[in-house]
Amino acid sequence: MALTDGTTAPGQPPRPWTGPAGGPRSRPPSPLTRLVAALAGTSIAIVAGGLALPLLVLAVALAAAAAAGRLRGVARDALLLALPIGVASAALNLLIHPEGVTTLAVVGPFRVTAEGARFAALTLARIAAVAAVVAAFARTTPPDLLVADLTRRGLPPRATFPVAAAAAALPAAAARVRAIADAQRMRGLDTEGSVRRRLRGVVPVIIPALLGTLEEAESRTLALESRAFARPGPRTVLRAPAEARGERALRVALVALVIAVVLLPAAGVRIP
Amino acid sequence: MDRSARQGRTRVIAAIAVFLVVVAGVIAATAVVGPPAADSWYNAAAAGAWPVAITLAAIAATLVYALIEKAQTGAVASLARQLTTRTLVLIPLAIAFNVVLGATIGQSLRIPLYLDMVGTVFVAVLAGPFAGAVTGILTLLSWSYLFPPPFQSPTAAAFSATAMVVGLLAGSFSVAGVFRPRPRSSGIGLAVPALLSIGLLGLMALGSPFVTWATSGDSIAPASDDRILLVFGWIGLLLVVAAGVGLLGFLILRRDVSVAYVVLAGIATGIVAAVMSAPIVATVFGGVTGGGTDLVVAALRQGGAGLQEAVLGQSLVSDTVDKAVTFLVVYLALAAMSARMKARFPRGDDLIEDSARLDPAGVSLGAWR
Repeated sequence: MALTDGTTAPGQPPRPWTGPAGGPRSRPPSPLTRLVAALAGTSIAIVAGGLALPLLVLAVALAAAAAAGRLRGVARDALLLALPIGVASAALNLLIHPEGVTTLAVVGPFRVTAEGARFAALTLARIAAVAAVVAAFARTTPPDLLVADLTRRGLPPRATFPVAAAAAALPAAAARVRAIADAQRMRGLDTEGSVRRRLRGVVPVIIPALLGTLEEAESRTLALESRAFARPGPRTVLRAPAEARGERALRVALVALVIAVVLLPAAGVRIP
Repeated sequence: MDRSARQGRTRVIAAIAVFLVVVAGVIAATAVVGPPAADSWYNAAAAGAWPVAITLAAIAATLVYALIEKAQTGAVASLARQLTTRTLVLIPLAIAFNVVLGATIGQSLRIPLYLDMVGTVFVAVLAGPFAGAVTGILTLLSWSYLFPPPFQSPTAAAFSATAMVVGLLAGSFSVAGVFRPRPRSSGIGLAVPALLSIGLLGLMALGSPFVTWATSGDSIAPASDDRILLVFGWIGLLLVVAAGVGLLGFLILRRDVSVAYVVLAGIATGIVAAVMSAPIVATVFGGVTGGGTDLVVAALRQGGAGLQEAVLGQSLVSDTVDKAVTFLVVYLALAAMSARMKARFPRGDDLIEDSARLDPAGVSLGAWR
């Protein structure tokens, strides 16, 4: 369901980023290139030892979102994803950093140090960069578009099926767990009591949900087998996203960049 | 032992040997092996090498297993057999189940567990280690990159390797027969494994940092005289005693010794998961994962523990309890399934109790399936 700001309702897959009408000059990168860029951005933000690279990754992710016309949705998602863990991590490392030497301030029982503040800023930058990258990728690339692209490149349908089917199964799985939990609550399952009572509530919800999953798998298996799912050989892809010239080189460059960021510090080169 | 079984044993031994050699090699290559610092029981410098070492070793062991099988039989049937259409259909449902449980149940019941690998362990036990590893990796990658809000998690993908190893371990335990029911156990058949498992539980507990902090005052404890660490140490000790008593009660009531094996397998898997996850949480995310367990890390840090130590201490408790509960839940779900349903999956034979394998006429179930 598309909303007025070009995003989609919670739990719904995003609109694909297909670019404005026009020739190859306005064509957006293929889903595979976007995936490689997202994985590279995440890896660089995580591995980097300084603030500069995570902030650069954050800027590139937001720029890509703006180019796709999804800046507002991506920024909102990234903020919602990064805020809880980012604030908790920053607060923990800012206020509690026993290794810190240079004291900046004392707040009650906590001692704020320069070393703690530096580590808190680095962690916050990393989390913000990773959140922006995953939000930008998820907002612009629906799983079915990625799967169509991978299938077009020769990946067998048996390899791509789990990815496409998982995204489709998510709302149904959530509804099943919710329905079972509601039904068990009506029978007296206590989800508000002590930890012991809540722990005892786990089994009556999970086991029926697992068995329901098996039943669903049975019916889906029959449906797929009756339509030659296991048949070997190539498949015809009805909606295959095209690839602009030079994307292959871009993917190779991104992989090389990740390897460089991982290996250069080991060779004694300091990365900011 | 027939030829096929002998070949299978050779592959398993070779895979285990490669795993151990690669782990030792990577740890040695990173040149961080050595005694921990004088004021700590934990070698924080070496911590980051363990996830890399275990991940590379698991991949190398799987490759060696496949290459030997290819050389022995001309095909890699034991891995390909795990990915039947039924398994491929179950994997996405298990991925969705993992994410929903991890994001919904853990929050709605507000318990200090993750419960985000029930589907992975379920697939691994029913289909095999390779299928479990695939489910684990795809779950964590999809959770970060593919699933839209509110199911999306920015931190999940960083733990893909941990999920892969959990899937491999759960599947390997299934192949070893850990999940096969052994009901109506009695006498020595029940008592010896029960005492053995509770003894092992005690040994694992003695090695845990919480108990170390609580019971020792020598140099390996970072702040054993600290009240916060002491309280957490005793909480850890009480948890272990409660787990032992609970396990004993469960064994006496159900008289199924497999419960002990399943819980121990879960604890062992949890220890590996903790060793792999803790350095990532500490180094990448500053010791925070966004769950209720973050408070434990904060308390341990305030008590003077290093970041790596605090996160590992918290992970060793959370992950072992979480994986033990996960394994037990999967075992109970399998117990609720009919033998016919289990037998439809690649490892179904390993999940059927011995007494159900033969019908009264002595014909193997495999003969009519």
